[in-house]
Amino acid sequence: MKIKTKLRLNSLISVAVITMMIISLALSFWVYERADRNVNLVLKMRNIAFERITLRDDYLLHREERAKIQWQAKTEALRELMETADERLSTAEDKALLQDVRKDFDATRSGFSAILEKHKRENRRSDMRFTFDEAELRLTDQLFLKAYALMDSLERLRETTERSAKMARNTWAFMVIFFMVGGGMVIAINSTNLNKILTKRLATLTDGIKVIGDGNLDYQIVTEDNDELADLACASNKMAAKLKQSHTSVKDLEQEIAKRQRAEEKLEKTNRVLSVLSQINQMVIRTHEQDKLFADVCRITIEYGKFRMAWIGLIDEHEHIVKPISWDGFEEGYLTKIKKISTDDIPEGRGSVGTAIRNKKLFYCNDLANDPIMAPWRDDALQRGYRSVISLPLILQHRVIGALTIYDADPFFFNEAENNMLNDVTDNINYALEMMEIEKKRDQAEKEIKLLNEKLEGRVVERTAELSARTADLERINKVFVDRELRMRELKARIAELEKK
Amino acid sequence: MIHFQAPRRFISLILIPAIAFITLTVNGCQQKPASPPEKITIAYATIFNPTLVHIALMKNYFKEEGLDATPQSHAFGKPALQAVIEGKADIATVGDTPIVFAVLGGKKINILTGIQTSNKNEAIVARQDRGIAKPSDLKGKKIGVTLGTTGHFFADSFLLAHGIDRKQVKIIDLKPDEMAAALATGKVDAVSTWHPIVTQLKKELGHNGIIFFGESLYTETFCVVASQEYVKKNPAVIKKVLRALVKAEAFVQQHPEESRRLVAEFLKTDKGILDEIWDIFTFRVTLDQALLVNLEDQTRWTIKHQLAPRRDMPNYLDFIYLDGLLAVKPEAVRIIR
Repeated sequence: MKIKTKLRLNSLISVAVITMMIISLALSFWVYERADRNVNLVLKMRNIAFERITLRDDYLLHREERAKIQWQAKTEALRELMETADERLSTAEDKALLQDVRKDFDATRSGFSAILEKHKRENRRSDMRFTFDEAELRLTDQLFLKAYALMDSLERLRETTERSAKMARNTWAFMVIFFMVGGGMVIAINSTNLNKILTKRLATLTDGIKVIGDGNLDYQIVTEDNDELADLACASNKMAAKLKQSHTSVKDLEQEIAKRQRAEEKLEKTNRVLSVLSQINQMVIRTHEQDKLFADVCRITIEYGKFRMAWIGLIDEHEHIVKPISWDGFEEGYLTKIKKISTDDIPEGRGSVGTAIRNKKLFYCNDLANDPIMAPWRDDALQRGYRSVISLPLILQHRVIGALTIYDADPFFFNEAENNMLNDVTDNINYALEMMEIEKKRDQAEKEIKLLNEKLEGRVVERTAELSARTADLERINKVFVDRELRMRELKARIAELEKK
Repeated sequence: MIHFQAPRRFISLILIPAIAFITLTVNGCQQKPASPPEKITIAYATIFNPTLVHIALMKNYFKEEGLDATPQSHAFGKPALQAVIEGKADIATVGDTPIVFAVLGGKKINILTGIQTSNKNEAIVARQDRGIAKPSDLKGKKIGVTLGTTGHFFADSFLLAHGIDRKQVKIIDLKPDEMAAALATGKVDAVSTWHPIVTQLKKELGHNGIIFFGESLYTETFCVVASQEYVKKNPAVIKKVLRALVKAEAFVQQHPEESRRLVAEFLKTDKGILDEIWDIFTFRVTLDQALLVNLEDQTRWTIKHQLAPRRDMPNYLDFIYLDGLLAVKPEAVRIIR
């Protein structure tokens, strides 16, 4: 049942109870009033009966007409009061007693009337000495007897009516106290029960809401009854379910965002590396000097790759160490402060650079802070914000000459895609190095050819002189010239061959 | 001042049955043997006056009070009282006149309680064909009475009240069961007796019968009496008897119709007669001042006419046992003490 309905019902019951109380109190008060009136009526009857006795005795003693008339008047008054009592008295006991009173009243009236009749018959003179003969004594005795009986009956009636009045008064008092105490108790018990029920129900509801509020959206508040609190509990349960649904959506969204962020980060990383690759590709075409190449590689790596630091070191074959040649980014003395990086398989050579050089392939460490192989350089690296590192071997003519090492501020930066692109970067660098080497060799060859040409030209001059001197001789020996021509051709062919190389 | 009688009653309603239950249970557990019922012989009159005794017998109120009552029936109260005097019964139901004669005869009896009063139970039934149409016509007539009974006193009062000298009529002693025949045969012209004989005679005489009542002349009081010796030895039994009679009084007041049926059944009489005259009786367990006045009035009558051996007025308070009724129903004792 709804609390609203309950409260309305309670109000109705309260009104009904109060109405009943008022009616009961009014009724009991009316009964009490009526009983009290009955007592007064009976007392009045008793008083009149007593006055009748007094008047009777007055008459019997003095035979005064006045006493007789008064007695008759009182008799009539008593009769009228009996009529009134007959209407008012309601209990069977009172009715029975009133019947006795009536009988005794009639007996006294007939007894006294008999005496009056006797006196009338005898027509006594007023100054006659009064005597009581046997008949009169007998009648008087009977009259006395009935008067006693009448007084007894009236006394009984008084007792019963007073008892009724007392009971009515007690009932009224009891009802007043009962309704006050009982009503108070009922209100107290009702309030206590209501408080207890509401407290219990509200505690259940509050606890449930707290549990839900703490994040346990699977919690179901127990719903009792079918009232507003139960509705509230149901609503809370539904709200929790919807919250759970929304929470799942948010979680999914967060996961999606994280996924996208990761994708973006990955894309950014890829873009960074791709930019490095692109820039280095362009740069290597234009660059023909190794030092500039290395410097630009480091610069581009930092500028476009947004890495923390990049450096290129070359192997010192004599000392078996890697010497930094070029660097860029947040170096802050790192390369000079760190222990020398060995190319040998010793602790100082087991870092990323040494390992990459020895293994001729890239080596990376995505957790500088915790990877034990980076222990020799960890503190300095962490101080400078390096969290992950990759080293890529530089190979020239199938021989590792050094390494490009890149640091990033984020751990776990380097993965397969980035590493592959960085491998392409180093391939391009390697290619540039190779080309530089070829160019260097070609320059060297050109110089040699030039030198040879110069030597040849000198020799030609010498020979020409000799030839001129000997033209004659030659002409003479045409055949000798022909041979020389053939020899020239062979030289030219060889030069062409060298140029081709 | 407020009396909290209703709550006390309410508590009593709960407590009394509870205490009774516990008492019964405890007694039941202890299996205490109940005391055997006390034997008592009750001499009762087969007329309507001792209705309360009839009801108590019919409703087993004596048995409920722990009495093994043996009823002993008598045609009227005088022989019932005689049975008590002779020790043939323990208590008797009897009218006031035989009591007066017994006391004046020196019999040591006690009135335990009054059980009925009426001023219209006694009447004179006369034959009109004997010239009796009014009370004064009784002069010179033969009137049958049961001497020493209420009928005797009523007849005397009636005659006196109507100025008829005792010498102007002839009083013939008749037993109640002889009256109908005496009237029918003309042995008497009128009889002074009580109900239901009055009603029966009226029916038998039909239009020839005439009844004279005297409400102002006599109020009979029917009592329960026992010998003083018995009362002295058995006060507890007396209280039980009175309790049973108080129960009967309550029953009669609450169930008058059922009471009439029971009495008619008990007396094997016509209930119609009882229905007809029921209202003339007042059945009440009481000892009132009117009883004293009545006894003294009749005593003066017996002394004046030398109907009994004793010539002085006895103190009837010595012949009324108040303690029993005071213990059982004190408010019913209304004698001025």
